[in-house]
Amino acid sequence: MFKSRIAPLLLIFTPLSLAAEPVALDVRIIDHQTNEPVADARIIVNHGPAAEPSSAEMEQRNRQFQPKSLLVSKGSEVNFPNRDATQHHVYSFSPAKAFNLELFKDQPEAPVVFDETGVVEIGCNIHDQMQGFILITDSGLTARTDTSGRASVPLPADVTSITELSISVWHPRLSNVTETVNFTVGLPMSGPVELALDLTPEPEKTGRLNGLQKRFQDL
Amino acid sequence: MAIASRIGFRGRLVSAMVALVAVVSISIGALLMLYLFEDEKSRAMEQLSQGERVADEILQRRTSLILSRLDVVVRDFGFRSALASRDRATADSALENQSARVGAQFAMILSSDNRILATASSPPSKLQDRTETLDLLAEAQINGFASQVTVMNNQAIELVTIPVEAPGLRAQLIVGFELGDEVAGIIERLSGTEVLYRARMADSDQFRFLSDDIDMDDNRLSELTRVSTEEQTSARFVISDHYFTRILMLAEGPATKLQLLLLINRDASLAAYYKRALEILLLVSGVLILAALMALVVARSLGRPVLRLAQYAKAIGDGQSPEPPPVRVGGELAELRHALGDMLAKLKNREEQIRYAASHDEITGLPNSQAFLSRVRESFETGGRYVLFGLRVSDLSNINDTLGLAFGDNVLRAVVERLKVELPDNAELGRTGGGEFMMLVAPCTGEALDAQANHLLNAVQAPMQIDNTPFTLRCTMVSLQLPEDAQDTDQVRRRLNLTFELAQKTRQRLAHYQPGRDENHLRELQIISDLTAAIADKGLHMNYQPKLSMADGSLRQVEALVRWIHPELGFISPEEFIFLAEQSGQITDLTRHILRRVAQDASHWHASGLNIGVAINLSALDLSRPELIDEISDAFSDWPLPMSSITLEVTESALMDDPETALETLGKLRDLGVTLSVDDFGTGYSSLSQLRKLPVQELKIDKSFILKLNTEPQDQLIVKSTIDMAHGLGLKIVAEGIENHETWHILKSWGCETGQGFYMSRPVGAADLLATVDAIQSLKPELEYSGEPTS
Repeated sequence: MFKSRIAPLLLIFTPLSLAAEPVALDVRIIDHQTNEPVADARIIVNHGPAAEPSSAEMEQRNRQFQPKSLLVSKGSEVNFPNRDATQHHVYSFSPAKAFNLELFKDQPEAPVVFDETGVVEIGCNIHDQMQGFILITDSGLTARTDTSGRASVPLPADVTSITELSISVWHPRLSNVTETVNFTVGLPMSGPVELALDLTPEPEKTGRLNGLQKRFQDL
Repeated sequence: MAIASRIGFRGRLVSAMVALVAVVSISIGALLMLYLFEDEKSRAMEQLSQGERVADEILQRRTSLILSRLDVVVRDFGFRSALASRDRATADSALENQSARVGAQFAMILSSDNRILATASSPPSKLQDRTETLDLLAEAQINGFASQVTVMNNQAIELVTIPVEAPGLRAQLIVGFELGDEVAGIIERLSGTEVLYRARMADSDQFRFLSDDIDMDDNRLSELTRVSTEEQTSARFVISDHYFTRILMLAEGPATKLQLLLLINRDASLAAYYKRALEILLLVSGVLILAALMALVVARSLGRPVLRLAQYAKAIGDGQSPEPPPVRVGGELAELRHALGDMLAKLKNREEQIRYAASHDEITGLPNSQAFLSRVRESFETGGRYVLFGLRVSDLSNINDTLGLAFGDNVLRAVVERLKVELPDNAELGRTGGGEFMMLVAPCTGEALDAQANHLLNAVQAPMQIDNTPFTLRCTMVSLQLPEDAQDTDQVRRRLNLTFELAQKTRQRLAHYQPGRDENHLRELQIISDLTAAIADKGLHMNYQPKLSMADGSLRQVEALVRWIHPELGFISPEEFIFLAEQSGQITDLTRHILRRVAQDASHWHASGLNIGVAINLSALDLSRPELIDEISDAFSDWPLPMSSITLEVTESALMDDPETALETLGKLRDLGVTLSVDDFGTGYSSLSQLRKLPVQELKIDKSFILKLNTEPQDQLIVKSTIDMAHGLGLKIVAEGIENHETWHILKSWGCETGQGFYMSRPVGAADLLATVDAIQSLKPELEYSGEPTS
């Protein structure tokens, strides 16, 4: 389950029409520090029935996971096809799903089944810079922000019977990428919801050890 | 100054040079030692700074190396897997394995929520809860790593933290490494300093050394401990007795402080320093000795000629004529030598001039008195016999006054010319005074002497032509037979003068000295010189001779007679010393003295009931003194008898020398009421007309008429007529020198008023006067009886 320990939030409510039309949650994610819109943030509304397990793929191309992050429903299978000429050793120590695909080429023998919700961080043991994330959710209401930081999640009609809504947000630049950030939105909404995230700056392109050595030299 | 003047030129030169060298070399030595010390210090500082850099570098590199190793560890898949297995035993063993690989003291892994995931080698308890650890973790979160030096379990520990990050794994690895003797050893080896760790914990205020086996004695350890506590806040470079110390702060937490001490033992450099000091001291001593030797050599070479010149000058001063010393050095000393030589020559020249001037008369060129007398002295020494002539030109001062000094000089030269012509060749001639010449000629006596003397005298007195002026001199000439008449030059001078005086007195042209004259003269001189003392010391005493009234033989008056027994010459007759006192002018003192003595003696006999008057003799000189009147009235101010009982006797000749003054004085004396008497009447050339004017009351007939009066009819005639004349003039008569009964009675029969003489009484002392009165009383019948004495 998502943990709900979140800093104070700034919630801005806009007027919401009371017409019995299909309801959607309009969200805008901004960087708390810079007030810039945040793209590629994953929005999960913890409401309604779970989505059916599915099958997905996270391939390795040019020594990168592709896509870098994946949102799947609980119980889904994910394949890790190798499109590079080199071998990869894909693994994760995440409590939600620890797995270890020893050195392989092309296609591992079997897909990995993610049967617990949470964030699974994935790396390659022989290519440290490769990093990927798989978010496992038991909710079907998910969305991804566009470059303007906006996302719209269609809500089922029964949301009118509840007064608040739990929302989980995740982004690869979260200070703690192993967890989602949870928000609570009061209902009914009067407009798009603006949520602020504490994000780390863009990661450096160089390797971690190099950065460490550089700092050392700066001392 | 006293010392400086005593040590002399050479000593001063030596001490000045040595002092200069000493000051210079000691200054240089001291400066050198100071520089050496500063040098040692700065070298030590440099070494310590270097040591500090080395220590910093080593610690950094070590941390860097540890980080590199740990980075490998935290990336090890197996290690990560073991950690991610969530199996504590597996994780612990994996950590143990890795920490052993990197050589850690202990290790611990904390989860992101600060739970212990694994430990190795039993890290200190509650490590994860310590403030320092939390700070370390926070720093590692930001920087990707963190390291910290601290003290744990009495050990210097470097804690290094690095995150363990793997997909799905977030943890922190904390590893402790001991900064032990190995690190210290490396720093020691590279920096050449000793290295010690010391720490101060929260519960202590004292630094403690961490090493167990410090190879150092307790004193030095406590020295270093003291250094730390005293100096920890300020200087990081500390100088103590045995060490130069550099303090590096490794950890400076609120509780724990850890320092790295870099030490340089001073003993070695101090030993080197002292060795240098000794060497410098030796060098300075050597230089000083060398300087002293050089100064001695220089001083000798300078001083020796100076000494020689000094001896040369001393010899010149002593009147010798030494050869100038050889002086090799030129310049001032050669000049001095030359000047001394010059001085010697000039000195001799001047000496000769002075000697000539001192021994020669400048007008005539003859030997002067001194030179001539020294020639005479020589003749005494050689024992030769000579006749010494003295020639005096009379009236030379008149010639000088009237005709001028130049003329007088020419006269003298002319005299010398003539004497030279007339004197034999071997005679000596000298000018011994203004117009006085002396000649020493071969001995001769009697007529030959007279002939030679007259010949010379005539030659000089012959008319001469001086400056076209015809001129004739008058001269006196005297002679002395040498050595009979004089044994030394003093006698020569004195006896020559004496003879000149005698010749002049007797108006002789030529006089020969008669032996014995000089002795009389000397006796007179002694009497004159001793008389003053005799007057002052009462060496004189008074005798009194009674004067008796011839009518009844009673004692009316005594004549005071002064007597002098000289301690050497014995009895001196009053005539002799009174005459000399008149000559020397001492007579006034003598008279004053006699007046007082007589008044004093008379007061005694008056007190004892003898009412007798007194007669006192006055000298001619006394009469010329106006003070005499006061002196007499003062002396006899207490006179109890009538003043007429005082008789003042004045000799006839005294009255006649200066009758006017005498008359005036006598008049004043007469006013005093005293009786005036003419003494020694009949011997002088008294003018009777004068006598008539004199205010005298008495005539005293000279004793030469009285002594043999009884047998000499002529005397009787003179005395009788004198008595008659006196009586005719209203004067009384005193006869002195009565020596027999007949004379007494003759005089008595002629009406002579007063008699005096040995017949009645000899002069006696004041004390014997009473007895004399008795004796006279017993004589009375005889005096009154006019016939032949009965006995």
